[in-house]
Amino acid sequence: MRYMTNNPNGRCSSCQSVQNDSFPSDMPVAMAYVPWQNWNNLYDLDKALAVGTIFPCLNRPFLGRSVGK
Amino acid sequence: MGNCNIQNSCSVNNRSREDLLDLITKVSFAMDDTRLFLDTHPDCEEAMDFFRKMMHIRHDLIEEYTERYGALVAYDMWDNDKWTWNDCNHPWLLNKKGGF
Repeated sequence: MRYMTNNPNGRCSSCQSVQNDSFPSDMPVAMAYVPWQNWNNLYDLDKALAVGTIFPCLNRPFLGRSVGK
Repeated sequence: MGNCNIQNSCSVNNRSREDLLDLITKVSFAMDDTRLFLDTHPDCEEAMDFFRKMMHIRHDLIEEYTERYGALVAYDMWDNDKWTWNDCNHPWLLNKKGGF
């Protein structure tokens, strides 16, 4: 079922808010999307085992508070 | 990724048992994480190259460990006419100070 209409002026037909065009237009609303992970710089083996991942982008320790980028 | 600190961590024959186990653990961990990535990115050549590289390193480390300290897994009990798996001083039996 198509949830999103292909709106030429980039505005949501019902509430006229500007559609976020970083997503393909045919993606259903109210769904969670995970950005695609790429293979890029990895930790060295010592650090990887210590922090629990070889991927810096996945090294998201929970610090008990919100943390900026 | 400066990940190949394996080769220069120390020369082949004077790596202590702990060093070998430590390296095997780290290489195995990197392979596990890479496998998770490859599950969703099966066509990623870079990931595949890294996995192969780690596989060879791990194989050599385990071979070295098995030759010097005995098999890490019972499947590698090759050259014994007698079953010595129970006699091997396995790493998981070591106490904190490295003794038994």
